[in-house]
Amino acid sequence: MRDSLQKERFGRKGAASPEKAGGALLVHAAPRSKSKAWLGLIPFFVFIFAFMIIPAGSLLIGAFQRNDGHFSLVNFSKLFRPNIISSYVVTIRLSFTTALGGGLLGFFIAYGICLGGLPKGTRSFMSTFSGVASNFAGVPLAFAFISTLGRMGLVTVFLRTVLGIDLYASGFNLYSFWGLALTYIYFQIPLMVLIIQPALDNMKKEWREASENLGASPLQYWLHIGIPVLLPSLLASFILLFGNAFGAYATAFSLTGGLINIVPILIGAQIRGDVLHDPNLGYALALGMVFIMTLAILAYSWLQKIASRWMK
Amino acid sequence: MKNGTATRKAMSWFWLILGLLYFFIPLISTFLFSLRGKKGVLSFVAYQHVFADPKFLQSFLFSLQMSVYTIIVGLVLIVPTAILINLKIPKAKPIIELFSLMPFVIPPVVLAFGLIKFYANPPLTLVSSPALLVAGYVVISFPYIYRSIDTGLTSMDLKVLTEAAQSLGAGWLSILFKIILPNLRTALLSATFLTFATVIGELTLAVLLAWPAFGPYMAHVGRDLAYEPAALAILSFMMTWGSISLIQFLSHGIPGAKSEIGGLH
Amino acid sequence: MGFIELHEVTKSFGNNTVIKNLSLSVEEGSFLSFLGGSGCGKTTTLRMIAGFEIPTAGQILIEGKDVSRVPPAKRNLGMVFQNYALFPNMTVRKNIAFGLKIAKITKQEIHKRVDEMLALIHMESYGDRYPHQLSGGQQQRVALARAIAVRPKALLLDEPLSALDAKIRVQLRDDIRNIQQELGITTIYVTHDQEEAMSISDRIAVMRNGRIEQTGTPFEIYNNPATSYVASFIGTLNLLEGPVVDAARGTVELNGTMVRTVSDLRGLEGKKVKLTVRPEALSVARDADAGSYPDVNTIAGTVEMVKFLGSTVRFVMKFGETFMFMDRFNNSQLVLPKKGDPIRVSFAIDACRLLPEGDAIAMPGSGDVEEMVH
Repeated sequence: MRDSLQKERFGRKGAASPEKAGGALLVHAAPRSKSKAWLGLIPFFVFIFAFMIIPAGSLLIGAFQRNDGHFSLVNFSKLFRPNIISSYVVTIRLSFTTALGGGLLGFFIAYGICLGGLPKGTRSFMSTFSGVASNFAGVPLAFAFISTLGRMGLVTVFLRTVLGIDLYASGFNLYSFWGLALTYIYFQIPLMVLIIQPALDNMKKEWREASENLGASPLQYWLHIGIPVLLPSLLASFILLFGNAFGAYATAFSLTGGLINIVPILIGAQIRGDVLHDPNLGYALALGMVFIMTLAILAYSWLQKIASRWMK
Repeated sequence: MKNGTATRKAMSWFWLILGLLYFFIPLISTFLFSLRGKKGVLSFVAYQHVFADPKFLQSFLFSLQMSVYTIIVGLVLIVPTAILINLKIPKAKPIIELFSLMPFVIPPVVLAFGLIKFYANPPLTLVSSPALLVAGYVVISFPYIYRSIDTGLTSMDLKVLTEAAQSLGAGWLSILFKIILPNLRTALLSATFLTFATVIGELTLAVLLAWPAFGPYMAHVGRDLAYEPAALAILSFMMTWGSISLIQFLSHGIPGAKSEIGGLH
Repeated sequence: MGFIELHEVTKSFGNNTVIKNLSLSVEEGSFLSFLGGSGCGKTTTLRMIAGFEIPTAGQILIEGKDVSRVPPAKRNLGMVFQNYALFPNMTVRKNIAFGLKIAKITKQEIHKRVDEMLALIHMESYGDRYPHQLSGGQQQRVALARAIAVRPKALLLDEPLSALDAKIRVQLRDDIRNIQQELGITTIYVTHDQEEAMSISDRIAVMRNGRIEQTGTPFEIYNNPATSYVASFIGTLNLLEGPVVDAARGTVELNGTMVRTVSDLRGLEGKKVKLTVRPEALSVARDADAGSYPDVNTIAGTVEMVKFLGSTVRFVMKFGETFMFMDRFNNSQLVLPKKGDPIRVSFAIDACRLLPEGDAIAMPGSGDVEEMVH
């Protein structure tokens, strides 16, 4: 990045003297304003580097240091401690479960909307809805689920007193894995609706008609065309939902009070100085998270590229 | 064929209703729960308690202030960048788009960690300054702001408009203020409300950088009280709903202006 | 009996009846076009034949069997869509092979058939490409190959060329016709482009408001339009309006000039009628000709505009309040008149026909005149 900026500037220096002599204003305006334009990006890049790239990069460096500052890989071996391994496993399981659950439900809702047959206005209503619900996360969402499925939550009480089903006696706990999963799914569903809708809109009705015309049954259409065409978009959406759950801190923190053993909570605890007393291990934890998120976003971009190529 | 349509319709309804139930049951429960502040009757006592708590107003105003700063800094930083890129250096577009994916790769927890590590020691001791919190918020909301502005710019055919204005003798300043920004109004407002909705109840950065913001306040109330948190949840929900509806309303009927409302956490 | 027959077919969507009692017969191996403006029901009719829509009333017969309620997958018809509708996840080969695979044909046979099809559309080297790597014209050729690979009873094409560039459109149009003739496949073609329909079809059914206005060969449709709509929709037409002076001789007065027609005017004595004459039937009259031939009409007026179209030149002329077009072939010796020059044109009386009774005429030429005069 910086290299190309430099080049631009040097390039201009070389061209500067004939430019001064030149009379035609318009002709010379283009190259000059181009390098000036690059200069205009500097504030943005400075900001992003100062408050995102460099701080995140400093974690990277820290992850390769011992507490005394020497280069070391010891932090990464510490990642294989059972409690840390298990926190990664739980986080991955949680992300996978909620991405799958929320993704499937969201997909069917979006598909239903695309099929039509629902009242007019359902679509725009649902898109506002999804916008709200996918943004409705963190503390208030945790409260909402406590009011619903907590020990005194209305649904819990309703199930116990009216239907005789005692959720908590049967092992359910809102502050455990499944409780957290149900809560996450609340924002995963609408996010899925929002991101899969464009892909569904791009499915041409003529594909179905052409396949019917060539003798295929609806099942054969889905097997040979529908699912293969949607697959990249579906996988991409799934990965996005996965990452969305993987990095979530606020909901888990406010629901469980920091008691569930997932990676973001562990990192948060490290920052707050509660548990590990080993900042460099914290950096390695964070790095592990960034690594997984990077993989996710790479896979996402790659799948999106395939999908958009097909959808042209 | 007729049968098929009926089945399809039934399926559409089934999934829609299932989704709406998932969405509304917690909301209704929370609302009913919030009305139970007084034993035996439904009342708005919990809401009264919430409003009566001085810390409620303090933390809310603090977060409001932070969101205003975030919006200002974010727009001042991103709007000119987006215009420059769309108009002059389309080559840089992939770079910016790559950056707009970064907040996803670096979740708020990790971002907070990095900011604290890097800005804890001299010469750059910023941890105790709210500026660092605002900077973090700008990073978090950068993808939303950028995408709103970018859709706004692409849908108005920036290049033709500026060329037309130039051919009529307009200078850069008047192009910016008389042509680009007025046409970008919807996108700017969308970005504003979305940033507001993101920042106002934000927990992660605020709690980890130890600021008395609205998010940490809510979390704190949740630890000690029973019905007030439900009331707070309803209030937050109404704020989110208000912001998103405004965005939807604003972008309604503007061709190509698809508002950015998806939330990643 | 026709290969494909429609008997009194009606189609309504809710309260909106889009096809009204439509009957039609298509000969085996022939090429029929549905021609009409948007909303005339041509695509709906095609979709009913394909099975994507079910008629509200009436029957559709293929080889004498009523297929009105047979699902599309069982009709064995090949369909080509306006937007190509190639399966984006399959290569060209796999697209063409799709119908064959569904029909459970052996692998070797499929391979052979796909090779034949690729050769037929001259795309042998494109078999492993994906649709998004092809141009629109290539995609549509693959779609055509996919539709005929299954050896359908008939081929249905729904505005297959309207998404393509003008040049490719003309070329692909000829390709479609050649392939159709080579295979001898019964074909129904939907288009709004009259030139396309005329150049490609054995027969044309001109449609309007859910009805067929006229069915005939392109020659018949152009030269003997059955209704005023057909007359105006196909080609450019001059309309001459005036009272009938001598019904027996077929004489009509046009701004003081007597014009004769071969059409039967009996019973119309004194009434205002509209006569039609095609622009290409007009020619510049030499003064000496005036009145010397009994079977030629001559009119005098002024030149309003000269439009150079390449192989032809179109003169716009004004006779009193009436504008007329005259087309003549271009040649390098041609001396083009200027606006305001006096001009005398003549045309044979058998080129001059009475406009068939019908609704108010939608004159495609009238917009042209406006545009040129102002």
